[in-house]
Amino acid sequence: MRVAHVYQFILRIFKETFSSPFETEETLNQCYLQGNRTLLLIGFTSFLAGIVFTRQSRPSLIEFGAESWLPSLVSIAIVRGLGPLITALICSGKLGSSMGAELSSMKVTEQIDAMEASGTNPFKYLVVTRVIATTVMVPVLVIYADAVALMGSYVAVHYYSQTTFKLFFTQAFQALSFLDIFSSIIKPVFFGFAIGVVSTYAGYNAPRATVGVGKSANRSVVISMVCVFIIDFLAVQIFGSLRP
Amino acid sequence: MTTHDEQPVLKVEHLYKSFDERPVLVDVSLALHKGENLVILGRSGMGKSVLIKCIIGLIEPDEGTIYILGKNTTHLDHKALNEVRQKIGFSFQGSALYDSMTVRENLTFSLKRNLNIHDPQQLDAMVRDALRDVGLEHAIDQMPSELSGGMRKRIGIARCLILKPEIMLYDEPTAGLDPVTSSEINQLILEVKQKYHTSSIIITHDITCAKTTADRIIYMQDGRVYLEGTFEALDRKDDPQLETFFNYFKIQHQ
Amino acid sequence: MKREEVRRNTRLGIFVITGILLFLFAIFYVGSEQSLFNANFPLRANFVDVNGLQKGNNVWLSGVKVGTVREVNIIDNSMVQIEMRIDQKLRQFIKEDALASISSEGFVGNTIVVIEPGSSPQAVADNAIIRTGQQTSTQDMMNALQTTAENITNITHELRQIMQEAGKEGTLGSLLTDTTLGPEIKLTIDNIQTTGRRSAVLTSDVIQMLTQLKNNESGVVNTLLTDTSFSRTYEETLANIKTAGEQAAAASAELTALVEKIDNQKNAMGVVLNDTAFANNIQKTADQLSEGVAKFNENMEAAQHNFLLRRYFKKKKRQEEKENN
Repeated sequence: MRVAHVYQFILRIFKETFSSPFETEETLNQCYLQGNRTLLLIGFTSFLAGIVFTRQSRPSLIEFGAESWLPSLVSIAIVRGLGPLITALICSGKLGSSMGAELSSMKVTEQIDAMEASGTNPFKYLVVTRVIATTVMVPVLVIYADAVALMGSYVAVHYYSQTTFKLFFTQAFQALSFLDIFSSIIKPVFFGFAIGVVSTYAGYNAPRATVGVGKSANRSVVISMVCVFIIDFLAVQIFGSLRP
Repeated sequence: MTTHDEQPVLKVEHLYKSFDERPVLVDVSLALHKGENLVILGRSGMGKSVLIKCIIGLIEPDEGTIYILGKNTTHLDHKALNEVRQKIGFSFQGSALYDSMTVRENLTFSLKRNLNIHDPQQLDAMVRDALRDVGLEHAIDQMPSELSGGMRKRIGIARCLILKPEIMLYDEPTAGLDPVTSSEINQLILEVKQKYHTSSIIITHDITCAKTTADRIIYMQDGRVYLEGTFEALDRKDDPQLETFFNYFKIQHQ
Repeated sequence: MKREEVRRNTRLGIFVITGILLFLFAIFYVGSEQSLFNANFPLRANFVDVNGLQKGNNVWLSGVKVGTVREVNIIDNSMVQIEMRIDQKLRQFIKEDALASISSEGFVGNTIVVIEPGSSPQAVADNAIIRTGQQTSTQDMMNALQTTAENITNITHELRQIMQEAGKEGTLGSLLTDTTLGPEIKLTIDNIQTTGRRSAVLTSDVIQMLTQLKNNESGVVNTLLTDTSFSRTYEETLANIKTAGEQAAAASAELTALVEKIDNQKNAMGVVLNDTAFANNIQKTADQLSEGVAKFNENMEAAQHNFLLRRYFKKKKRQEEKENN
């Protein structure tokens, strides 16, 4: 991927996002499809991740005699890191590959050309709608992932120490600050945008051959995931410097 | 035959295009007159597809100018180019139906966006009209994956017709189809010309198709316009290259 | 087709709105934890040392969270002013003469501000600067314990020396002539005795506490962190230790002075040896002291192995090493 080309691609996304006509219907449709495709998977994985993380942190905390800190520890870990990361990775895998494959196969079978030739703007219809959809849906999915992971963690905590839900909940939220909550929603906006841009770029600019489909699906996933980690790293630096 | 006194609806002048130093189009000039079916004949890989993709603006030529309905389209911005494109129908080789949509959605896709028609009843009527013209009214709610190659081709043509184009571009309309379906498509091309009064460029290597649909034929070789004339005129020419094509046709029709 | 679309968009809408509601709920909940949305009023207090207090730390009144710290500012060379936000509803319980102090949530918790309600009939005004006091911290306790231990070791050591010297040398008669010295020594020895007993009691207290801490299956840390009555006991224990430590330090200082005196005037020894009851007394005291010291060492040993205090000892050791080098 050439940097200048990607830059122009992103610039075009911004330009066409804010210029009429708007593909509202298709954007909503994409939001629905993306949410539909990933919600169950994200819910399931974050539930398990909540349980696993809780179970694995417990022995260390017990060693320090601080088992009662488990809810706070887990809630911070989930909201700051685990929830957004799990969501972003699942979305890179699930949405990235499907977007990359879908767009590149449309390219190979000349469907993108057909749209272009009929005088409609395929970029707007195919790329912009998907990027908007990921940018909007990933944060929403993160909220669900956080909630479900906390549930999973509660199940694990309750299994060991019969903590009431109210106490778990109070302790979990006591540890969280506004910054944590906001970072858990702002970070995924960038995750979603990156996943959308990378995958549509890989699909939209795929080589015109059948191998291009597999290649761009693969590329979408790999590069999205790397981007997610890079953004996560940068976010830690930025939000870390904002913390008192 | 067509009258040649009018302005041509489409004119290509001195078009050059090369990919990675390999010339594909070399000084191509042609004109399409109103109500005419122009067949561009030639072997595969001779730049025919590149030529019509240049015309519709999918590929940017290196040099040369293209006039569509009197407008130079080589240096138009996106918006103006799209306005011109709305007057041209392009039937793709692989039909290029949108997989994720039903036939109805395929047809209404451009209607909604280009002509801004959103009234469901009006859309329905237009879709049914267009499908009736290609004889596939019953396929209205099917997905493209459920259709055969010939049907897809027809739907692809219907998708162009629904926009009432002035110019139709057919890229290999009979490629990959059995002879019966091919001749049906050829008939369809003629019907379209009759009913919609379109001027068409038909890219093909199928001599039967050329014979049936052509008012005039351009034979392309090595990216150049090699020969030009009616089917009969070319048939009489004594050219070894052309001979092969025409002999194949004769075998079929013996 | 159209109906399908409406149905999908409705589902999408419900999905997104639920997500946003969850988000808002989280925001609201965290906000209310930090008393941002409740009616609250500002209250200030000046401290010399806030012990790492930060914005957002909790403010406790009688062991109940009533607000948070909003600002921590150094206002001059030796003064830190903190601004707290206290729940408006609880203003009536905080009187003009309320006392604020810096403490921590149990052994290893966050730094907090503890307000003692006061007894004046008048409730505090907005932005009032309330009195402050210093509460015992873990650090203070450890320092006191350390000093006590060192002193006790010195005393026993020197006492043993006296005993030995008293046995060897025969210049006892001269001591008999000095009548003023006798009662003084007696008083001092009594002091030592009391301190010895106190530190024995104290030591067993601390050992008990640490043992409980170590066996945390019963959730003692939990209790320690959450149970206010326990934390009060804990505070009292700390205070006890401190008093005892200070007393022992005072007593040992006295004793050291006395021993120096004895060294100068060796005749004082006669009193000690003539009065057998008194000698026994000293013997007993010395025994008690050494027992106390042994227990204390045990206690320190236990403390060193307890993770909670491990860091403190490590730091101490490093410091010592640094000084030695």
